[in-house]
Amino acid sequence: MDGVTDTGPAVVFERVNRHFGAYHALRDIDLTVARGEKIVVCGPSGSGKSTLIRCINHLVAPQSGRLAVCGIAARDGRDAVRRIRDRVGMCFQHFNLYPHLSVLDNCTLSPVHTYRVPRAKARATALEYLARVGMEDQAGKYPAQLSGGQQQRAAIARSLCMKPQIMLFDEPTSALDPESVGEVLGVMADLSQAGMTMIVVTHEMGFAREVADRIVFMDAGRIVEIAPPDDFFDNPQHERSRRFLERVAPQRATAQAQERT
Amino acid sequence: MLDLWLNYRGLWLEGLVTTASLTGLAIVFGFFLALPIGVLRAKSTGLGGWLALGYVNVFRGMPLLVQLFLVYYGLGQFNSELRAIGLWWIFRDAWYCGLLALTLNTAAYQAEIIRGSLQTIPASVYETNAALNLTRWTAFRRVLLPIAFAKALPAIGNEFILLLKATSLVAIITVFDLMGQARYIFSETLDLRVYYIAAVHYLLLVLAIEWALRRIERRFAWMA
Ligand SMILES: Nc1ncnc2c1ncn2[C@@H]1O[C@H](COP(=O)(O)OP(=O)(O)OP(=O)(O)O)[C@@H](O)[C@H]1O
Ligand SMILES: [Mg+2]
Repeated sequence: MDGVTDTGPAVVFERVNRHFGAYHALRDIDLTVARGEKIVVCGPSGSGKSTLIRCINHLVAPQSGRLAVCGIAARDGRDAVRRIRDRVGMCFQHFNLYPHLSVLDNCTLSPVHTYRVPRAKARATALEYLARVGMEDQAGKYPAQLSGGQQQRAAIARSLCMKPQIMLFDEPTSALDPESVGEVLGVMADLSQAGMTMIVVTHEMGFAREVADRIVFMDAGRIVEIAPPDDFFDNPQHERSRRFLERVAPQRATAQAQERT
Repeated sequence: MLDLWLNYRGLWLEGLVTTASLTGLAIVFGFFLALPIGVLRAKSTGLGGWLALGYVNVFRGMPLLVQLFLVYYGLGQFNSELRAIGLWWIFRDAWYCGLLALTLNTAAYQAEIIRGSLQTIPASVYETNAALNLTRWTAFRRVLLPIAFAKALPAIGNEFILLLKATSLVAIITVFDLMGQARYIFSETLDLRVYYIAAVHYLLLVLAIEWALRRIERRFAWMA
């Protein structure tokens, strides 16, 4: 919206650290995400995946190191966090739709009240994005009337209504039944086709292999390995990654083990 | 029993209107007074929070009857000062005094209800507000308040019913509400059945409040 930051990397972490009390949740994170790049973050529970992506829109503030999002660091002035959040959409594991608002009102709340978009225009935009996620005929419903997959698609549309340059997803399909998982992953794949910069925490290894440009594997607050999906899945460099893959995709691991023998 | 009602129906209806209007106005004024106090209780750790806590403790810590006496008789002693600042019309009139004391009292209870429901709003809602870049005001007005209100509704409804019955105390400071009229009619007839008639009026008012609450709660069905 201020134009100066539309080139250059989308996200740059340099030696970023974060503690929660005595617990060291992020250790010396270094990561650069290019414009239009799709990153899948994976790793065992508690490894810091959520903390990592929440740093990007400052739901968690990094404590040391440098973190720039679209060229903006949080220290760049009083409204820097606000300007970063203008550019970053986020989808949560539990969708976090506002229960008291219809799908359409969920989508227009921030555009109308934060960005002062005229209501009619905000509605038109919202319906456009709802159509893109296949939810245009559910616009008048309340979240409680929708399935999990529909709620997550509505939440994606709500984020898109803010015209973000980067989309963050924190386990967007973990709370869904198997049928809904497919419909949400489909929407995300479409979004990636359209060129969106995406950073996705997920255990959906099929999606990771299809869509990701790079996989970031985390363990105990550290980035252990960054690799293109084919390398990561077929030839993980680290013992930890290998053990992790055996657990999340045992059939694949055994298949490889058989190939090797 | 019906004759007892019919013979005095003008007084009964006056009493009914007085009770209903005292309750209704105290609820509404009390709610708007409770809103900032409840928000301060939930959010402020500084002076505002302490003042709000002080308010709640004072007005919950005393019997309503004592508050009615303090407002009507206690402040009534300062009549020359109150005249000077142009507030005598409130403290001269038992009905206004009753309304004031009821409002101050219910505000303390409603403030605690509002604080409680604000504090049960999960962190994920605040995160969503932040991620969507909502301004503080929009987040409060459009998200936190409606959710808190829906959560508070059963407790607030309960408070309304308690308040309705508590208004009967204003009869003691000479207001002719339902109870005041009942006492008057009893003094005329010396017939104890007048209190049954008063009781039925209160019961009908409670049923009306419950009916209204159910209608409102239905509009908040999304909360479940
Ligand atoms: N707000 C917080 N306060 C205290 N500790 C926290 C907080 N947020 C995260 N942690 C801790 O930091 C560690 C990393 O948490 P994080 O949520 O980033 O893990 P994760 O990789 O997303 O795990 P999961 O797969 O279970 O979601 C955990 O041990 C967690 O307990
Ligand atoms: Mg997580």
